[in-house]
Amino acid sequence: MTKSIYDQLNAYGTVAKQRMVEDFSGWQYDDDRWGNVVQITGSSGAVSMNDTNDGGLKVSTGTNDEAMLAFNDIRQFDYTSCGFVSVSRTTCSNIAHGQNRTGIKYDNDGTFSTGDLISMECGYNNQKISLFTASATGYERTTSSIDRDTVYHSYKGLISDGSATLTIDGVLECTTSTNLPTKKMQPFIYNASSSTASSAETRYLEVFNT
Amino acid sequence: MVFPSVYEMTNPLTTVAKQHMWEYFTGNIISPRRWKVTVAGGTVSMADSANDGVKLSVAGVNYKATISSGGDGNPSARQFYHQNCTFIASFKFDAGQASTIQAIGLSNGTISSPRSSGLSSASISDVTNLGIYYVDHGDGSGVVVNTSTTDKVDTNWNTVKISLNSSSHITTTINGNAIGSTITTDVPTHRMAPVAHIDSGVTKNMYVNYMEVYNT
Repeated sequence: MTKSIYDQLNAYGTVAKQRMVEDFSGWQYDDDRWGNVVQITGSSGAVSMNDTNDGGLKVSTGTNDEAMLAFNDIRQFDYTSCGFVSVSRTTCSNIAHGQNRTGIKYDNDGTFSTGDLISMECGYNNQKISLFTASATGYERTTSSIDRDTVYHSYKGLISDGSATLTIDGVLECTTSTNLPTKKMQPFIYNASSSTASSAETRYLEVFNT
Repeated sequence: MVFPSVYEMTNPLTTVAKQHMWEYFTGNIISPRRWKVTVAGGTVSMADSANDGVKLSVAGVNYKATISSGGDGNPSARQFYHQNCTFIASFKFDAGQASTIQAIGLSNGTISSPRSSGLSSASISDVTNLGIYYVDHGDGSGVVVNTSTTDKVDTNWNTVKISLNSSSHITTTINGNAIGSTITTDVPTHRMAPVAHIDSGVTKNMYVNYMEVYNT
């Protein structure tokens, strides 16, 4: 039996790269690791632990607001070869009124369409859960076969060899090589609401360089 | 085998993982964000000695020390099922004594002993120098039942595993060996959080260097 976590994640002789693992357990979110909630639009954005079974952490917004949680621009992840694994969902009863993006991003702000990021995306007008990538030249939304919903999914996003992929619940759903990020990045969780308040709930997030 | 992620060490990507926390209790202080520390005369500190993790200390009549990831109601975060849940901890109890209670496990009451009346609890304890493990179990109504085992408490490091199945039935092992029989009555009915607690009228220290809880 391998006793070392290191040895279970890295082949013998390999020097491990940056990795962040967050299980979102505890009575308060870790604001030493994470920065304060960033109010992108409006001021209703809030972050709290969820006092429910399997509840993890929630980033919530009131109507017509958007907010995110990130590392306050401490960016240790390599845009050329990195990945994330998350277990997350959006709570909005009317799924068209809420949107969740979770992944890795350059700016600790609302720059998405010309930002530098890779994330999953669920909600708003896009009927399908998608892979969202962006750089200064624009964004790419690569849709999966999975309809948007409010249940938890496992997401694994990867950037490698000039290509980005998104695996949802263990099935490779999205691949693109367009508008991939070109800057160092940080983990982030984003939520937006239109006419119904909503939350992005995340109970696991892992980000790593490969 | 090399896993591509920590996630995939315990779950295939085809499985949507449930809440899972683990804590090695290393560092300068116990994380005040993850752990709610409640003391009455007692202290909670990181031990400056090999393998000793976090130390819960008391030194006088009615002194108490409790840690829990569940908060204190303002806010609370009890994220673990009363069914289909597993708790693991490595701990070291102090020597028994007439006024001493040492307990560790799961409870929906997060700032007091998991043996307190009215709680949903699934924990183990050593009390009043009787020298045996008790399995503590409560359904949230009335007293928490303390079921005795024949297994002797010692002051070594031990690992407890408490498993709640789909009917909340509780099985408990110490160092891989079952203690007591399966508990089927007065079982938890409320979601819970991990808790460790010591209460003594004399100087006592309880140590915990690992805790893991996961919904299954």
